[in-house]
Amino acid sequence: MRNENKVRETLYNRKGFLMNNKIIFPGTEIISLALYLKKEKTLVLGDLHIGQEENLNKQGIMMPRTNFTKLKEEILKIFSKTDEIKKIILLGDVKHEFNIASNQEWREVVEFIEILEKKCKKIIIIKGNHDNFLKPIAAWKKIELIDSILIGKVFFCHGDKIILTKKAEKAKYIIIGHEHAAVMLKDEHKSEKFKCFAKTLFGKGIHKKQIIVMPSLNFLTIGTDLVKEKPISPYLEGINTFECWIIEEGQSFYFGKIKTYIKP
Amino acid sequence: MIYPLEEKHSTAEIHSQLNPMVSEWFNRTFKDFTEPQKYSILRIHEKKNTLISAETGTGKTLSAFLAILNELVSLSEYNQLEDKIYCVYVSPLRALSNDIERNLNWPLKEITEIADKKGKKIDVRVSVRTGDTTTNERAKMLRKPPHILITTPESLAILLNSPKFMEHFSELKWLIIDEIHALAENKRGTHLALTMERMQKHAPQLCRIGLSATVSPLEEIAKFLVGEENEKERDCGIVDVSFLKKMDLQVISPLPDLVNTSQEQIQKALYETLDKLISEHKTTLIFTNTRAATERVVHHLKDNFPAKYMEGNLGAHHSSLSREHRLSIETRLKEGKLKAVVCSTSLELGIDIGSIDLVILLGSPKSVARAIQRMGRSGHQLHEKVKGRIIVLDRDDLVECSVLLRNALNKKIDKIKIPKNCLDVLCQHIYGMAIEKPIPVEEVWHTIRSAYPYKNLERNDFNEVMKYLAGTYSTLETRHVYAKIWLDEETQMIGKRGKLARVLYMTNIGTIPDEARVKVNIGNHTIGFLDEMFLEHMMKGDVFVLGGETYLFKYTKGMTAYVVTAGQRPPTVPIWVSETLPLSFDLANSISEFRALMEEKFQMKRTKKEITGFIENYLEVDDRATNAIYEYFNEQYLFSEIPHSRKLIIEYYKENGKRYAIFHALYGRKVNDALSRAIAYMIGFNIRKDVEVYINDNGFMLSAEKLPITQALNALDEKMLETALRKGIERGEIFKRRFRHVATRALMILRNYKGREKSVGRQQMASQLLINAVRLVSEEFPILKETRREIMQDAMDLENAKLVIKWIKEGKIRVKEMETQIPSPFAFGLVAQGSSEVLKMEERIAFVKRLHEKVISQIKNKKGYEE
Repeated sequence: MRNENKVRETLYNRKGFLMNNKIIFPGTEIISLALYLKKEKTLVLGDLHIGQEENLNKQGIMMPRTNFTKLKEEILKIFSKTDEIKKIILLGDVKHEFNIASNQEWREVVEFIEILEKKCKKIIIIKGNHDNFLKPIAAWKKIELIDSILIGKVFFCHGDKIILTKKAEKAKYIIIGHEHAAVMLKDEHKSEKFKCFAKTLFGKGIHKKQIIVMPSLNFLTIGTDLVKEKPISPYLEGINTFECWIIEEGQSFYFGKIKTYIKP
Repeated sequence: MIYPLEEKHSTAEIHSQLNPMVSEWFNRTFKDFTEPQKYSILRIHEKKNTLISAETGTGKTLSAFLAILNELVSLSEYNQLEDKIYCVYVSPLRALSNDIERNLNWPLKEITEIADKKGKKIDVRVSVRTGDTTTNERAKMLRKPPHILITTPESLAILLNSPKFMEHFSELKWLIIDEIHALAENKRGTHLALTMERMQKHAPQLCRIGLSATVSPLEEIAKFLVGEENEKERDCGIVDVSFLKKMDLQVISPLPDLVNTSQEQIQKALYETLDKLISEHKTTLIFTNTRAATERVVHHLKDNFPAKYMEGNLGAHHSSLSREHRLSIETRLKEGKLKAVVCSTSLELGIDIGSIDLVILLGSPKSVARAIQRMGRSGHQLHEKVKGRIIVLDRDDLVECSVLLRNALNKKIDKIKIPKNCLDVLCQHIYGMAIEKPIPVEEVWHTIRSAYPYKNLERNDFNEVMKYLAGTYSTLETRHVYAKIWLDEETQMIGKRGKLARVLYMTNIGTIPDEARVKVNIGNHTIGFLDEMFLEHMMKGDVFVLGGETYLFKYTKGMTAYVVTAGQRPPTVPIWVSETLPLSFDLANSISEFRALMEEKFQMKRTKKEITGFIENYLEVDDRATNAIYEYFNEQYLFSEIPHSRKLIIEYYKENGKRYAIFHALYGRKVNDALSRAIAYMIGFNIRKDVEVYINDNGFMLSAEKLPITQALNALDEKMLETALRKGIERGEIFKRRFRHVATRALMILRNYKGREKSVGRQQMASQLLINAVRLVSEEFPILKETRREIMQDAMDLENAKLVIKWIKEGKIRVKEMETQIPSPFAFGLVAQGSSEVLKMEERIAFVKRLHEKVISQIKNKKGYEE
């Protein structure tokens, strides 16, 4: 089994790109639902949507609060599999409510940040479209909210709008959240949806960059099926293929290039 | 005690108890009391609980009302009638309530006229209160209540929580439940049973009267009607005057050969047969089982015979049509202006529809009781004959309907099943009781256990529901969000929580799930709508008919089904058979017995003439039908063997590398649903792969890579069946849908909240989020438990499935396994049109790994990759 994995680790395609279960681009490693940049010792986390349950309660749906427990379990699992972490980047939509910061959000966001702080002091929060009222909570934890950040050749932003700064132009890779990447696997008589990482191209010519879409760290829903559903991020407008890494039970599986249903 | 009534009262006896004005009116209007009236009027006069079972047109309604009218008229005559409600009449149909008002107001008007002439003043009022009643009318009713209130189960439950209105119930003496058989067998009835117990607390001397069609066993309906007091059954007398009318019933096959004929030929013959029957009679009522079929039959009749059938003399009647349209059809039917009316199931229940001399059923009604109910719509006068014809379009239907008619003529009615211990309905009523006023837990417990469907409720389940309502599945600091009631552990009292409680209760109670219509799309273009129930069992690749065109089903997303046009491909989902009507277990067993008799004849080498003679003698069928039945059995006998009540045949065959096993299990779909899923689960658990299941009334088929069935059957006993089924259903689509229904009934999803109504789509989305979350709270969470119960006990038939397993274990049924090249003739129906489902037994991770292997090997096989 181990041997077989090793074979796969060294599988290269025609153009010499790596095709690997864990590596999205050189220097990265998929650790369950998180992405780790080895050189920068940076851990990247997708959308959390803390507080979605309270939001459902307000619509008359008596949703029990189970997501946060799962989130805590997941983050501890990720920590246990990662060597050293110097930075943690939250890719936006930390909380769910658009219009207020609810009780659940205050309590759970603060608690979550404290868990992260135990592992590493430097926490960067990228502002998502749901994060209008995150500022007071972040300020309470003395964390600044930013729209984007460039680290080496990697540009991070939430993905709800295209950011065209000089820093963004310098990047070779863009990592976004927002989309809750997922994919539906099908065989002749059944289909099931899985969370995944997706990689595709953005821009033209010399400005062409690789876009990496994160799965969400929300356990209430799986996410958007990129094959069938129209993506909501402008970065992904009109994509017709993407490379896919499916994540299930903390393991990742490279599924190669997948065509979408979206007509170019 | 429940006891049959044997003593009929004489006409003179009854008149001696009636107010002279009522007597005068009765004599002026009728010749004499009818059978049910002779049994029941004086009992109801004495306020004794009574269940009356009789066909429509036998004066059933007046049996209940005459004694009540009599007393109210007398009270009014002596000026003792207060502004209070004396009688509540509950009907399952809103339209029926209007009908009854007409039937009540008319005698009242005439009696009042008689009184006027005598210089006396009579003022007895009747009002209808349903969901359609305007706020204005409601306010009026509150100021000046009617003496007789006509309402639906849902509206009555709402009234229970209107303190001001309840004051009018202090003199309540009679509660009439019409069409009680139609309510008892579903959750509307369960809800009503609890409502009755809560009413009884306000009016301890309440006399309960049930009106029922012919069902079996009546004792159980009676128990349902009266409930218990201090753990002792309340008394109830049963008036059973079923089968008063003579019956002329027959099965008709439109063609001598139903196999070697094209769909067009069958359709042509069908409409010719219909036309002939309609022409020979004055007014014909046609039942089709589905709304779509109703439309189609009307369309084709007009199309094929434009000179004979037109808007003016042929009508369609089903629940999707507007109320105005339906009322107009009903009125014209009563006036005798229509030659024929085609309906789905909407004219099955009680409304008076005038003189119909023929009822035609297209396709099997699936149960004897339903057949009798439908055909009883003809010959509405007491001394007229019931005349019914069933037209069948395939050979399974032919055999089924022929045996069905035999049972009907022999008065062998299938047993009804009353749901028990439904936890979701329980939630609503406990909430309602808590809203009335703070109340001791023990009092709630006793009230609930008095209702027949809850007489065996487990204390633990009751406690769990209490805890759920008190929100104990949430943390203390968020409890105010989840708790509907407060539960004081020390004083053992409960009460309502939150200012909105009453509003939430009134806008969210009820048991009928929002009807989910699924949009049918080709790409982004919507072509029509389908019933959610229809889709529940539909499988990728199934071809079905919608609006006269055939479509191939691909997949669903949310509340949209995606399809492509199917061109000339024949439908795989039956056209005539409604997916919601399963064959009753009792009738299925009768068919199996007929099969056993037939096998005997063939084994004894009887001649064709002898066997057809036997068929003609045994069943009510015409020559063509006799011949078709003979051929059908002969083919099966020559091909392999005839499965029957004592022999369960399992046929194996292989196709495209897959194993198939056909179980000739003629037990009806509800039992087969349970058996097939349990066995599929056991096999899937063993081989760790998905198992496909195909089911219909006559059997089921399993398909997978390997099928270790003998092994599974050996391990299968009654206990294992339940365990395997319980696990099996959680992996199917049905669980998701039923969970939504239960979660909305248990008020975990509020359909109406803060003035906003949730669409079915939103409810469904919410319920999918809830399932997983609730499973984390506890596998025994009341809503999960109720979903399982509803599926296993109500949607499926676990009890009778257990019985079948018991018969197999005892050797009463012999299992015979055989290999075949192709399915045998008796299996054609199943293979061609059995709807199907996949039991997902493979773990998600195993599924990913399997597909991953495939993808990687594909990548490796492409040129240019190095290792």
